[in-house]
Amino acid sequence: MVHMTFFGIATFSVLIIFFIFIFLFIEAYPAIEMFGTDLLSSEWNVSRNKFGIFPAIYGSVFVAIGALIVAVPLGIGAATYLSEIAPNRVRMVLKPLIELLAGIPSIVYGFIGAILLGRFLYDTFGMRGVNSFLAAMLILGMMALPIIISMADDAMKAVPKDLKDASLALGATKWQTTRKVTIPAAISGISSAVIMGMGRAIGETMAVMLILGSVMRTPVPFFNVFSTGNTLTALIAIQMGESHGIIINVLFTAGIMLFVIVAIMSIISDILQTRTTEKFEGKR
Amino acid sequence: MKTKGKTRWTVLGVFCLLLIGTLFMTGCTDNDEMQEVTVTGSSTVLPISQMCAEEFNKNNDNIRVSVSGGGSGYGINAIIEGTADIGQASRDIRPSEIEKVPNVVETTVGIDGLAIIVSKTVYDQGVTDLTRQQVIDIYSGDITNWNEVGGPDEDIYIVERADTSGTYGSFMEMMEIDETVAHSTQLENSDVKRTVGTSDYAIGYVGMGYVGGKTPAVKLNGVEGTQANVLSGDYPLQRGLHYYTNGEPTGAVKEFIDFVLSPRGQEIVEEIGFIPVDA
Amino acid sequence: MSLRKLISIWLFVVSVVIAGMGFWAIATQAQIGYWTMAGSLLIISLTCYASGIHHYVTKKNRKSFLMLFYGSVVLTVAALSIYIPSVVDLRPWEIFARIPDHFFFSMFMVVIGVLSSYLSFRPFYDYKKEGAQYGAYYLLHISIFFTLLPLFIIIFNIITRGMGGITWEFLTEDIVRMGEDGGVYPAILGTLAMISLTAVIVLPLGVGTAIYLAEYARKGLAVRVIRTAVNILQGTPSIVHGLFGYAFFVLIVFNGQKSLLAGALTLAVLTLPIVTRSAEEALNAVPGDLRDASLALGATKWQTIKKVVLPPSLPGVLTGTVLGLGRAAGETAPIMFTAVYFSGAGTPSSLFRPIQALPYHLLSLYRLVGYRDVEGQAWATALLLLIIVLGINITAIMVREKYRQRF
Repeated sequence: MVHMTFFGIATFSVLIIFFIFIFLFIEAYPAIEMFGTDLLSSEWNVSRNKFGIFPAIYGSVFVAIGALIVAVPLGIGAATYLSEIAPNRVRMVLKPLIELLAGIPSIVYGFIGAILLGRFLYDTFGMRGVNSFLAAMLILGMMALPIIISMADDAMKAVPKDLKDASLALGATKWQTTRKVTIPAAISGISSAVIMGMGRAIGETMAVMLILGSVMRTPVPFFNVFSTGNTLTALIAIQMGESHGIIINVLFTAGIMLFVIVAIMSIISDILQTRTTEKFEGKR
Repeated sequence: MKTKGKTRWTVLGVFCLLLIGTLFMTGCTDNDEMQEVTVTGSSTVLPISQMCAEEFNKNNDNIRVSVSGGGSGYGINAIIEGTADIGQASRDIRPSEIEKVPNVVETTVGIDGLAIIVSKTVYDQGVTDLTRQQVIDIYSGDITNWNEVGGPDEDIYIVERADTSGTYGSFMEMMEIDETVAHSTQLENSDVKRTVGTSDYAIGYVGMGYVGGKTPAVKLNGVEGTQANVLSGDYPLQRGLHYYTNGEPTGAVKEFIDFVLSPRGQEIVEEIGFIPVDA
Repeated sequence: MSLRKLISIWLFVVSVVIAGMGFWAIATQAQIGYWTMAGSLLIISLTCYASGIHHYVTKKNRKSFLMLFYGSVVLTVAALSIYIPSVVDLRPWEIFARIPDHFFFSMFMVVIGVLSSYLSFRPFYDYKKEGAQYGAYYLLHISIFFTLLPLFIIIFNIITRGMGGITWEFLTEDIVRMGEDGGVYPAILGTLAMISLTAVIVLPLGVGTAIYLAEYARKGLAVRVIRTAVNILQGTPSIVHGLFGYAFFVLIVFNGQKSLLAGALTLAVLTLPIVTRSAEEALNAVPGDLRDASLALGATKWQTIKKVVLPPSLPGVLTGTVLGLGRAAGETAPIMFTAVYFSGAGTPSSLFRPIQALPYHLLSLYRLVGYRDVEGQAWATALLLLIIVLGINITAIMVREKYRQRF
């Protein structure tokens, strides 16, 4: 009896996932039915009833890749420092500090990014406005850092000590051990950290909305970090409060895409992580 | 272990009590007599509603007016769906919308001229007057440099409103533009003003109430967007600011609308920078 | 100390100083001239030559070419930089940016400064493998420095700009003139009421799920599915939670009306995975012996959980919940469509009425910056939000660290 009660409570999470998908889909269906694959075109013009959200999809991916370029080298470096060479006392201070970095609300990042960073880049690069992909990438990189660091750190900490000891006993230095043994052993955990970081960058809303400029156009040329653009999240956040009718359904379609993209990333990251634990479980 | 366990449960109990206490604290001010008026829609009208609501709420204990933004279309849609008492709009209601609320009532609470604003840098360097055609060319991408309209040799940074807003609609209608090439899309008048103000070579359009400071307005066809020019019709871009209700306003809704139309309410309208209805 | 070490130390110090200068110049937009940059690089390059030649003279092995080669690269960079035009205009390629030459100069100083200080460890340790190790460690220190730097910049800016705005009036008065005057009292109350309600909703759900996962079913398909669901839920973007809250709670449950309860329910969905995960972690930390002992004495499974497993794991469970609430307090996207009104919402008076919340108030104020005189209030609101959220987090983390080493 008690068992079943707790099972019932536990199924809530699964239920919610289904609910999210179903209700998003119900709201999105009219748009999908009406526009079909036109939704993936790159023309967005409300007065002409054109709702192509490709620019937003491209923007989401572009921003996330840029954020990773900022965050991955720094994040893995910092994680290696934390797990391999930081003295215990330093580690005890730094780990919670990095968790705090993750705790800063995204609206605060957005506020700072739009007011300070946007202006800074405007002055440095003589851009035309304060909104740009570059600013969004830098801020999102900052926001993805804590999650990458703490997950990569966990992965490297999970590598059994025997492995490292064996390498050290063979005469390798600590750094050689880290580079040739620890990091390769933890690589699936580290990739799962990077994927989660990318998921965070794709799903981030408020900061991007304030910084990116929300123009529904693919940047020209495609790698132009100084241009403005839009992401799926910012598109929803900006238009949702202002619209009615079919646009709402289009926005829900964007929501579904976002949900599916991030869910797939979570699952991949989950599989990678389980693989790491299984790899080491027998040896511990 | 046993006593320790007990303290743990006490901790949990206190925690729960705290939570419930907070809820009660927020709940005890609940007043059944309280009448509620919700206003939503156009962000151009928003400052009027907000400032009026603040003063109105202070003077009326049993009525509370809540104001939220959104676009004009959103406001009118809220009337259609019945999710708000008053829908504010900076454009006229469309025939297709009247079909859905046949007995909609329009109350004009102010008049606004649509101002074309530019960055202070550009204004100081000679761009103080644009023709209607020049504005059209800028927004449709035929003019891309300020030196084509008598300014410095710099690229024009074009700022527009989100395409769901009433101001966007009125601008496109009045200018007869079909598609724009904006570099930045902003949600509200104040966002446009800030974006134009922080850039050095930008152009944008906002309600008259948002002109000034770092974002001076240019003359349009040589006519300044003053109150007199807007009222006489010399200034080409003007529109009414409306409150829409489903049926004649009654009760608390009527009281609030009456307040906005009262001398004090119209004083607020003028203070914000719009033109009072009876001017 | 040998000459070799002295040269290496000199190289390290000079490189760090030059990298620092370059970084400072970028941050303050100082205009580094060509000769400043070329001079700095010349010093580095000459030091590298000295190190290489010294090594060649004393050891006669090929390792010395590293420094000689690197010195030449630095010299080339310094010499070629004279061809950088005073402004690199990207507009012919439709990219609207103009990068000034001093930005490139500062950038070269940073990059070459960091590289040279990294390489200076090689000759110091006589090209043994320790050199590579300490060089790498040096780079790792730099990366942790640049990770924490933004944190300090953000917190420093918010504190210095927001401090002045936080007064008694700010904390206790109503929002007046769209936020120009008065305070944020209704928003504070709104945020507190909402996260309290969220806690009440999410606590039984999250802890229940955790108990099922940790105590009843540790393996099997059901657990696999539930755990995946929790992970997906944790990764789901907050704006999607907002859409879901709007589509389900607002449109279907509450008939199109935004309300405190709808917002709290949405936030409960958002915090559920965080609470579940940390509760599960706390439950797993209780040693299995305790459970076995209790079961051996004839207690039922539920009695064991209630009397033996839950009490010691309670601090862990609660800190997990509090961490989740810290996240909830700062979220804007999920409540935007479900719970908040800009003004006139007043202090929260009923579960079924919209409220005002701090993060959304900050967004509203940001929108008005430049139009109304609200920037001071906006910084103060940001500081207040930061204090509340980080305060919650710090408390939770401290309690957790205190109880973590119990078993």
